[in-house]
Amino acid sequence: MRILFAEDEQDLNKIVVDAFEEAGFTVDSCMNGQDAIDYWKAAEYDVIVLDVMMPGKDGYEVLEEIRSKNTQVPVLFLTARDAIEERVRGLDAGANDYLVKPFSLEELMARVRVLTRSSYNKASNILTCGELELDTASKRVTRGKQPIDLTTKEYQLLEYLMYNQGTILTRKQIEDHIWNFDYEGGTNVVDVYIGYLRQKIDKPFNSKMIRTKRGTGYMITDEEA
Amino acid sequence: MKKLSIRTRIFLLFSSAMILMMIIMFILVRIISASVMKQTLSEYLISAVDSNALMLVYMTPEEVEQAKVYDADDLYLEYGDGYLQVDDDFLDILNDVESALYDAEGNLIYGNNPLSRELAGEAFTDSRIYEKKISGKEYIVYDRKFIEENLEGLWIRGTVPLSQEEIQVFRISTSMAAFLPLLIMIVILVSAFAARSILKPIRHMEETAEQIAGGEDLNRRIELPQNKDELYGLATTYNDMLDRLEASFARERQFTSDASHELRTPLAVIMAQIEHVSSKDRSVEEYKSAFDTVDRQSRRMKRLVEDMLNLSRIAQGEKRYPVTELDLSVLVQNVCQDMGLFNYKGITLDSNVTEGIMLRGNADLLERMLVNLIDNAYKYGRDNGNITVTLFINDDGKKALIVTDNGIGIDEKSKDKIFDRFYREDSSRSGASGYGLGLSLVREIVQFHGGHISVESVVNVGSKFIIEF
Repeated sequence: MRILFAEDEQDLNKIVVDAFEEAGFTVDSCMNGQDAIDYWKAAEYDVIVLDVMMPGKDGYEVLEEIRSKNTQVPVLFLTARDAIEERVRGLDAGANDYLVKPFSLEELMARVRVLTRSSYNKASNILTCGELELDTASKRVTRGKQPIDLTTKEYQLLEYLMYNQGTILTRKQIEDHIWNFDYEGGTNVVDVYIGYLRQKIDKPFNSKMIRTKRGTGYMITDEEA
Repeated sequence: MKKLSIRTRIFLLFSSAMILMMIIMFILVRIISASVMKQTLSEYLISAVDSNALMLVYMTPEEVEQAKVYDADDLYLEYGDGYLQVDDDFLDILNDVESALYDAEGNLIYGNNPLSRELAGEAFTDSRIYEKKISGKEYIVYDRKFIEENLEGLWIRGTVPLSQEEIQVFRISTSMAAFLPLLIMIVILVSAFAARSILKPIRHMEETAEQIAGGEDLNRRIELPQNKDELYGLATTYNDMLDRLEASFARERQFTSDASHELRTPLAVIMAQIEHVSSKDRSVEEYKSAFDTVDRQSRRMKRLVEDMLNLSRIAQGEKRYPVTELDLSVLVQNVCQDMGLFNYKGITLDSNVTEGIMLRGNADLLERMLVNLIDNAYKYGRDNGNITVTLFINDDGKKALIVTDNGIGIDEKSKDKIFDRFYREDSSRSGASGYGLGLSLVREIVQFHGGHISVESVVNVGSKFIIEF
């Protein structure tokens, strides 16, 4: 899952980005509203986390611009003001959620997961595909009660595939959602990671869940081909 | 008197003034009418005496014989070589005026009334009115001397009792006194009405004020009376006060909200940092970096709290910050020396201080002021830039302290706002974790010392803060 995070406080920005990455998210971060809009225009995000008080364009203005383009991407506001009118203003402007500073990182992660889930119409943290199970909170993956160890990137790839199970995802889509702008690898990075994932998910079992659609991309499904 | 309501006081003052006035009027009427009466009586007396004087004619014996044929009723008295004819119209008692005829020696010639005999022999005063007490009663007396031929030496004396006049005055007074209770009643009613109607707009104002005081709503204002009288002034003053109160409350609320916002941000960083670093085992470098962050952010909070405290203390005036005569030059040099060691972005700090400039002030505050200004210059200065601090006596004879930098500058529209609490220049936030109380405190300190601060700045060229004491 790829997140855009805009926060003008340097230290806080760095800490939250670290925490997101450790929690298995891909993060692009910036320090002002205008950069946030530029990032949002250039990539596809699953969740946007905005600080309200930012130099240049503030959180409200960024949100207004995003919503004016009729985009449904979930937005979470971070605000240092807890006055009710501030929260109401944010929610009315089209924010999906808000957190008041100081906040707990754990809670921020949980809320971001909720927003991701809801954008894929999932009610629980547990994603299933046949006998394959993925817990987005604990990052644990099992197939037929057998735990499977995945690296961060492999996990992110599997999570994205499972959120979209039954749907073909292009290499571009996958790359956009799993790798941030810091990554400048070759174009076959997706194929490489799909390979790693197959080694762990499919190879030890008799049914193959990760399918390749030649010329388009990949999908995961438990239906027999 | 103090326990009474204003309305009662107005009523009492008004009605007692009116009653007092009525009593004075009453007394005046008595005095004036008495004097008018006396005047009238005197005139009455004179005219009675004068008309009697016309009734007296001297006649030779031949004339008497002739006259007797026509005026048999008249009295003929022997006088000198002839006779005095006293017409029967000579009235020795006319109403209250009693008149009598005397010769030069004061012997009664004509006039039959009790007083005439009693007054016989009294010395005459010519044509003069005077008062005389005769057997316990006051009288007005008028003597008239005859100067006509053959009548020389004769006198007519008229008297009228003064009691007559008193009776008249008494009559007027009593008829007035009969109306007095009625008049007092009217006075009381009018006073009560006046007190009520004068205080009506005040009561109205009081009600509005009560509503404002009772509720949380400071938006309400007192309705202004239609005519611009004293109450209009009072209502306007009151409304102005409410405006200021409301604005001051709003500022206070804004300050509290801003302060909590400013404190929440470093607090959020500290809490997030600690949560993040303790979520699993970290390397020594990670711990070190976390400690650095916590250190930096807690210092930021400390400064913010200190500035807030200073701002609120400075409002309490000299009690908190005693002022002494101090050497400003030494103070500025010391601060520059300390701050010059602060190696940040390669910026250099120069100072150009005229020695021996004294100022009455508080050393802690003045230090804080200069530190904040230099700190600001560092924060918004360019890499390898320069800061200059100058202290001298300017052309106006004032002590001028100037802090100049060649940093990013301040744009025109922000110039007025930089001294506002928690104002932060947007474009200048690139990396510098600014807090919005520094310049506000600087201004408060300058004002505390009776000085003035101004700023000259050009974007991307630099800023110049000028303080004059």
